[in-house]
Amino acid sequence: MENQQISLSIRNVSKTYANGVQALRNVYLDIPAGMYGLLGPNGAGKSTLMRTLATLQEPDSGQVFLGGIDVLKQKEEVRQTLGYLPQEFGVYPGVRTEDLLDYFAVLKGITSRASRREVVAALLKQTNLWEVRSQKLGGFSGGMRQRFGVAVALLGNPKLLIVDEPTAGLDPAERVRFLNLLSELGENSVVLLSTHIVEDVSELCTHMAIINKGLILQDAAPMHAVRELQGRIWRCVAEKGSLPSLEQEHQVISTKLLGGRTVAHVYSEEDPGKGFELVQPDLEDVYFTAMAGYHHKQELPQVGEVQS
Amino acid sequence: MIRWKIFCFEFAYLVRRTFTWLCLALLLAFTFGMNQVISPGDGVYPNNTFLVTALTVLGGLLWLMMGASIAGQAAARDAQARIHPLIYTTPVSKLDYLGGKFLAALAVNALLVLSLPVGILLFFYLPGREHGELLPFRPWVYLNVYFLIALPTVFVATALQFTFAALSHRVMTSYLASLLLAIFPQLIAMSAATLLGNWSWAALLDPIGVAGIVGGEMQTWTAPDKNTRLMALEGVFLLNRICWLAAAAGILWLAYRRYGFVHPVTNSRWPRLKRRSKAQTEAPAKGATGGAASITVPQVQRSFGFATRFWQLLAMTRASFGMIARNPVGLTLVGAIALASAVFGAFIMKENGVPLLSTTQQVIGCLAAPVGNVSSPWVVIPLLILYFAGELVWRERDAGLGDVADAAPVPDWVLFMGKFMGLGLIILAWLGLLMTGGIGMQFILGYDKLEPGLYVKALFGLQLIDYLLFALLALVVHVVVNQKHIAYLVLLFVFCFMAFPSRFGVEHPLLIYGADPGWWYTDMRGFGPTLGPWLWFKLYWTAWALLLLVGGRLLWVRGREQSLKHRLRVAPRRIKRSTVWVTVIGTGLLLTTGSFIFYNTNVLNAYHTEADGLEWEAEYERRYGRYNQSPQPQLTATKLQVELYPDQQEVEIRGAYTLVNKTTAALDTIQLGSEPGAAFGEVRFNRPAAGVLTDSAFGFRLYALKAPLQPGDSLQVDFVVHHKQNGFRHRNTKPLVVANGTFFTNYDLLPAIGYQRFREIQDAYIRKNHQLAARPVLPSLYEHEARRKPFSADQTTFEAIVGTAKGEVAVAPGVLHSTWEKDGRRYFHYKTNASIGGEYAILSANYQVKESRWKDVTIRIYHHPSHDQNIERMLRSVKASLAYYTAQFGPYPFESFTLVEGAGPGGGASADAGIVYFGEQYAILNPDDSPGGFDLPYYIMAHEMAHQWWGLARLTPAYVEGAGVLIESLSVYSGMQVLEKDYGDHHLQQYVDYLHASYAMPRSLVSASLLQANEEFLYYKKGGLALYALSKYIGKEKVNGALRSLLQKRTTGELPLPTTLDLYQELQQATPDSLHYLLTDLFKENTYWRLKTKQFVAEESKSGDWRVTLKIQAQKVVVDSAGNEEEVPMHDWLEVGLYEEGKGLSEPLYLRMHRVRSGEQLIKMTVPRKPESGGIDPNKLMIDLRLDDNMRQEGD
Repeated sequence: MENQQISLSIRNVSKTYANGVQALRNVYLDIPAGMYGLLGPNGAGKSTLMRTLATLQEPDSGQVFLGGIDVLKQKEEVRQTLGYLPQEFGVYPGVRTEDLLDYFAVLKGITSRASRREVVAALLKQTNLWEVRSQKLGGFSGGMRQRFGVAVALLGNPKLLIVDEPTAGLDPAERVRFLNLLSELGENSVVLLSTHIVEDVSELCTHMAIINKGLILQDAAPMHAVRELQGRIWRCVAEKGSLPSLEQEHQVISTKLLGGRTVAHVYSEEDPGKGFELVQPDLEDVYFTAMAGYHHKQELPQVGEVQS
Repeated sequence: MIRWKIFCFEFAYLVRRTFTWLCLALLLAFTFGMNQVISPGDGVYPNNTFLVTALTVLGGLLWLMMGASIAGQAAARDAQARIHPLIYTTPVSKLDYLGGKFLAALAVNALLVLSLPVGILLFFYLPGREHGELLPFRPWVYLNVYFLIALPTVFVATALQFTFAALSHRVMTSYLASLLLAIFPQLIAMSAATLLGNWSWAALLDPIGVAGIVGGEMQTWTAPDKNTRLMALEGVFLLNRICWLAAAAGILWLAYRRYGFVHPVTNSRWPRLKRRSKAQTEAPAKGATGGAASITVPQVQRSFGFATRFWQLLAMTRASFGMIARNPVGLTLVGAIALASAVFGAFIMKENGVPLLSTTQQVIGCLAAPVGNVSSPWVVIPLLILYFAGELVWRERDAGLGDVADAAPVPDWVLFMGKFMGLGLIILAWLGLLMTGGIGMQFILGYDKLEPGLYVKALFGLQLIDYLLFALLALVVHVVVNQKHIAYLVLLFVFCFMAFPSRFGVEHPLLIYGADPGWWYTDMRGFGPTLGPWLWFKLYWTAWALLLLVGGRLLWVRGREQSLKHRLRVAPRRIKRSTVWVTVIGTGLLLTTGSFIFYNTNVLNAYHTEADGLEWEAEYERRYGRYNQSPQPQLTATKLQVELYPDQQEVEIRGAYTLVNKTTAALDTIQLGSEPGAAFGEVRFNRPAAGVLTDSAFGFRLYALKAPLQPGDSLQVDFVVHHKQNGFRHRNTKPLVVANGTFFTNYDLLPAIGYQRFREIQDAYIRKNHQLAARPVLPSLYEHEARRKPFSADQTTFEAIVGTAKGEVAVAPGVLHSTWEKDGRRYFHYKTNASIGGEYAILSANYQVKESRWKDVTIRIYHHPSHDQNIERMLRSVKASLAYYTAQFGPYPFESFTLVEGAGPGGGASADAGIVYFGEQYAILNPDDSPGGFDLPYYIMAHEMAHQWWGLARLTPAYVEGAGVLIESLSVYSGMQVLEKDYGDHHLQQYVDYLHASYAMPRSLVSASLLQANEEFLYYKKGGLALYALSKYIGKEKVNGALRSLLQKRTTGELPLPTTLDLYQELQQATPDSLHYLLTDLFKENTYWRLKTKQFVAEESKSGDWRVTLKIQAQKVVVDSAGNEEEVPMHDWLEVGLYEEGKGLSEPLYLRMHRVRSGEQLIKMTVPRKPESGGIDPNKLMIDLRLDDNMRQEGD
């Protein structure tokens, strides 16, 4: 196998749905091998982008390349290296776990019976479904189904793994195991992870993008982004009822309750004054800063350049 | 309140669906379309109640097949859309929830079927429409059919659909409910009706009414009835409505009880109906400490070459097959019908109630039905294909796996073909079940000469291709439409088109998907010449299928962008080299096979639609009808030199006719005619004559004689007929000359003298449409001019030399004088010593010949070598008949008698002079000829033998009303005598019951009298019963004597020709005055008796005798042609009989004629021993529609 590091380039992808919702606006991203987090609130366009990358949808304009493969035109080639775990999916209720995984293994091109058996067994064990391998899928809990989906996505050692909100249905231990697995895979594949949980990204991803209303707000390495915010995030404890005036006077990016009092984070390049203390920013601050629109996106090359 | 809210919400939702409106549009289109094509018939106004009722019933069936998803949506949409957790947890009660939803579905469905009466109404009363004379607008007619017929049906169906969908949590299951409801009750009703011989079963059990109402009671409606009568809510119909409404209520109750407001544990289809075997165990997420165990996935080799595609295709196929096989109705429905066929094979393998040997040919006939045949139970197969095609196409998406599966590295064509092959595999399994059922039937019936090869050919060759073509179409429609319920509607429409193409004005099989000219198989002819054309057509449709395949692949739904517009836009990108190749090959095949077929059906052969055929008949009458009255000479001698080439389907006939002027005037023109396909040439007269007119399109020629043919003079005309089947036709026609099965008559190929009136259109309504003068089906008995013409004036002697292929034996009328071989062909010389009338046939096949003799008559039997089990029986019947008829009616006129098996599926026999033909099915009849059985084949042969005296060359009646009585009724009566003589009372009684059984079938009471009989029912059934009754009253010697006298007074073909009036006169002379009333009732009027024994009391007297009192109810009605029933006073002689325990009808304790008057009366008798039962007319001599109440048991 070639040992070349594969990467994904998204060039000016836009998509508007028939009902007028602009799901993606001129999205331009370079996604190198490794874990890449796509962070954004519900309805930001994450799933649309993921589906587009997973060959299930076509943008109105723009181009996507996976290494030398044109994702929008050479769907078949993409699918051969693709692992996809959608946000929501079902199963054939009347079919045994093992059989359905085996079936997907064939669909993914693992035709040798022996290696198929090996892979299926390994994946079932790794996803803790080995005990229930001969049960029918109809009675599975959400978590079990999610694990089954993970197993399907991992079939065939994909070079591009797209996982749409994968940790949503998993318990904490499962989540850790799954994220570990993803990071291992990220060593020589592109793993694109969409989530609205900031911890997922901060723990794992070497790169990330923040997306809202179809726009990429920020595209950076988490460490770097955090570093950039050094000295700009201030904290104050707001008294009851003083929040509206605080919001008027300062650039409040987030508020949260702490021991019954409201703690507000404020973005400011200078000391905002009395009652504020400088805090060590974290990725959550990066996210909220971007969402609040205080992050100034750097100029990016506009014309699609094909990665060589 | 909550229920009302749920109802409103659901109702609004259902009404907003496009599907609902599409259904409405189709139902309206159905009423308009059917109104356009239906012809009301004679004396019936266009807006008659019969039409309104029948269309509502048929439209109801259509709705049942289309509209299932409405109830399904209401019942299962919430569960399928997974919104149920939100709903179940609200404080709404189950009754409110299910009730509201059900009522909404019911309301929408009720409104939908309302479109049927409304559509009919609109059709007639929309402004700007012209319908001729209409009956006045009668609102209650429409209300009646809606509330009594449509609405209860809708309630029952909606209840079942709703229950199915609710309990399975799946919308589509409602279609299965429809399928079951459409097929099973009708099937059960029909089988109950045919097996038990009681048609009220059909009326009772059929919820839809196609068999029970339209096929039942409505068939008894007369023309005035049709205008005004409505289904009355009484009797069996009332019971039917009550039973089904109760059943529906029960089903709803079941739904209510079984429906749980709980999360469906599994989506297995029948979760509530079956107990789960074991609980699911939840797999715990191990390693709760987290992080420690990392996951390693073994690296595997993957490839995406051809081999992988093959394995993927296989996996897809297996998964698709598995899905259908696991479905509760996947294999069971077809399996159940196959099993039932095997178990009840004895009821299926019957012809006229007589068991048949279950040869493979027969069984295949029951198992193989064309895809578009909606009257066979196998219509479930195409309907199941429709259903499962949708389920397959939507399988991933329905399960929520669409995204995952679509993102897998599988090409579209693998997904598509995999599903197609899965469906194909299921079809294969179904056919396997059919074959097992068939073989099972043969084993159960004790037939062990299996022909597996034939099964394979017919089922896995012919039928499989048909079903596969249909399956592919179904898949492609589902792909293209991409809307499950609407695709289902579209397919149903396509299916209707395939089933009734001529209703849509399309007849050519090149235009009807999957169509072919048809095929048949018989033991003698095999598949004959039908396979070649069949194959060409299937190649043609396979070419279309390839293009469909390409279409399906290009428009395959993958990913989230599913609009047709989008798919059309990306389709060009999906074109690959293989796609191009398949398209090119498909198009090439399509063009070549299509043009080859067209060349055969439309160039080599003339293509005629049904309308063309009718127009031809009408034009023939318009052009040459005036020659009907012009006198022609009589054909008195026929000499033929026939060269048959069975393998080439070719024949050449050189013939010579001798014509004699038997009229009183000189004749100066000769008319010759033929079937249009059988042109003749080289016409030469033995005296100067000139062709005046040659109209080959209508097969009509006129020749003018230089010197007129004087009365008594004769002339000879020579001709040559050459016939060869070139290529093939668009529809299978009767095969005339084929290998091992040549069978044609003079009407098929040989020229005839004069205008052929039988070619005219008979049906009054069609005549009117073609602007032809109205005329009765038959000329009136009292029309003097008509009484001078027989059906055919020919009275010809016959001589023929027939040459045929070396391996075959040729058969023609007369004595076989010699046979020889020449140039590798065999020749047979036949000649008759007497006139054989005007009808004969020529046959050729690889016959086995058996010779026998009765007195100085040579008997030769020609039969298919393996059809030998009934030869002895036939021979016995022939000899017994010759003996009986010769003694009773006069000598047999020929020196030989020939019995020959005519290739083809016929289950009966037919007679010409000196010869009887029996069909291949007749040859394998397997009757019970024990004393307690019924040897119908024996009777049939005796009947055909009787034609040697009645009809044909002996008694040729005038071609007027009642002619059929002189030919058929007299033969029925004669055959019965022979049956009784050799088999005794029991077999005869069975035959009488067989005749009466036709009265049990729903039919109108209105019919002509026997004297003016004009339909087969009267000729065969009533005529036989009347003569039998008369023979019981006055003795068969007297009846036979009358018949002998009738025959002896006539010389065949001489004027005046006999009519029923002559028969009546003879019978009258043989009947004592006291019974003349009976003759009138039986022959002159349309009389029915209603006889009933209401009470039977037997008391032992002191002297040891038994005093019996019967309370009798009697009534006699005469029904006139308008259907008016008039009760007439009766004072009739009727048999009264008493019977001891364990003794049959043939051993009465008491049987005497009593005078019985109208109304209730007591009859008292004294008998020496204890009677067990008794009653009036025990031998069923009268025409009484309720025969089961004639007799009564002690203590009833």
